[in-house]
Amino acid sequence: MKYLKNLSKIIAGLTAIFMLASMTPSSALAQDLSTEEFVLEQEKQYINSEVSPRISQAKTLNISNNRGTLTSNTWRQTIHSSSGNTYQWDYQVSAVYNGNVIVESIKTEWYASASLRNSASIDLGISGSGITVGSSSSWTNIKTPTKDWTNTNGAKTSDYRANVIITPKRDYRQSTISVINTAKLKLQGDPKIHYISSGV
Amino acid sequence: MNKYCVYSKFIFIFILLTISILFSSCNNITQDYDQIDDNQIYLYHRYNNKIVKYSPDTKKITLYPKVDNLVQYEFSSSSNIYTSGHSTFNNFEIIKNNSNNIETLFKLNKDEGIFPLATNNKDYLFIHTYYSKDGDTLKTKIAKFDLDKKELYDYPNTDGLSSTGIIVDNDLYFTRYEEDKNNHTLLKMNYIDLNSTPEILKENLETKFISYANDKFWIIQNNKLISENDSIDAGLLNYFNNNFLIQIGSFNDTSSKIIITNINNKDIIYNNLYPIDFIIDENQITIYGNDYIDKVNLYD
Repeated sequence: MKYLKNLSKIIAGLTAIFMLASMTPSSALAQDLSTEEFVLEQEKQYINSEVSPRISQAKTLNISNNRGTLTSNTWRQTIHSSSGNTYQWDYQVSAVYNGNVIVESIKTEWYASASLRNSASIDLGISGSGITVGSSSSWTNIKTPTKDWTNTNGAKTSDYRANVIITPKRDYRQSTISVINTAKLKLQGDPKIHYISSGV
Repeated sequence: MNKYCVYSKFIFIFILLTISILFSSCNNITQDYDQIDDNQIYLYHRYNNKIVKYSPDTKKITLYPKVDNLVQYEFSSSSNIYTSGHSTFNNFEIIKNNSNNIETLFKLNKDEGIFPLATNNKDYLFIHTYYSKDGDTLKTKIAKFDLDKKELYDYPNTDGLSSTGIIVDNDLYFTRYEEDKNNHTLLKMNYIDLNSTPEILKENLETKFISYANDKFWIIQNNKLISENDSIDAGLLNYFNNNFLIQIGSFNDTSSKIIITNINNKDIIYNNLYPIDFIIDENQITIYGNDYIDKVNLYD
């Protein structure tokens, strides 16, 4: 009995060491995400005399052999604004290439999601971007259609700014809003396509 | 007795965990595809370069790959053969979509890449890249894949940044990127002979696009598809099929669309939002989208 107890402690200890050691190779997986910055900005932004702090995330991919970086940026208003019977969040998504290779195409692709009920709707603030949840009174997670903006003229960035709109207020479950952005990059003369996602 | 059981189970679980972690290899990233036993199918999401699982019953994607940089690449003409690889770690493969399973046909070495160039569904030509440990492209060759022998042969005289191609009879017509000029050269090569040397047909093309339909070559200039006596607005992805042009893109808007145009009279015979994939079978095209599956006849 005592022998078993001691053996299990030794094995637990060894296992912990093995797990820690084998986690090092998995940081190679994290190598293609060189910086994961989760920045909570308490920036004072005056929009029509309203103070709207925002939450943002930037994730950067290192493209091999110093060919630059691809960054996916997502920011949105932290707390919703209220307008009539709607909640609204100002948001911006962007794909940014930083480097010297000529860009063939760069795309930012995004959607929003939230928990809604009772046929409430969520919209990305662009025509045809709305979706309505079912009539059930239970909270259901729903995603908007995916929108994108692509530049193929050699531009190194692609971005979009609008408002997420949810209505009616009482059928939105607080703190369930999120905006997810995937950046896609194709460089001239390189057959590889690079992707990186961020979200808040 | 009770304590004995608890400690034994504890030891057993930890040993299993240790073994599984020790034997897993995080750098050996290839996309895993399981065999589909129900009504689902594998499709290629053309706009996002990913093989996905789709349910023809719900008409929705049921599984979308989680690793951003595991990307699948397609031929410009209809084919069920693709390549797949990780944009940082490589591990490239030539794969075949059999609808309910994905078959690996060939695995490349760790520091190599493989990308579809052109096919007539008998012969398969690829861009074969060789990388240094730092990801520097050491050389690029055009390569032929023998489907029966499962072997890859480089054409030795095909250096340069080849990108797009089309097979017409025994010839490969392809474009090559000229880094110093930031434009593209159109070349032609008899691909039957492995020792062929490509000849230059035209220089200073604005984009890498080259295609051939109804005895005419098409290139892209100023956002338009141009042939010797015709022009049509270009999409991000442009596929010619006899008299029809299938295009996918956002067309300076925010929603992805598919548009099918009759090249002869410029009639748009089909358009829809959020396309995923399309499959052409003789004169019929099946378009798979988010919430829809449509069949359209492709004859004049």
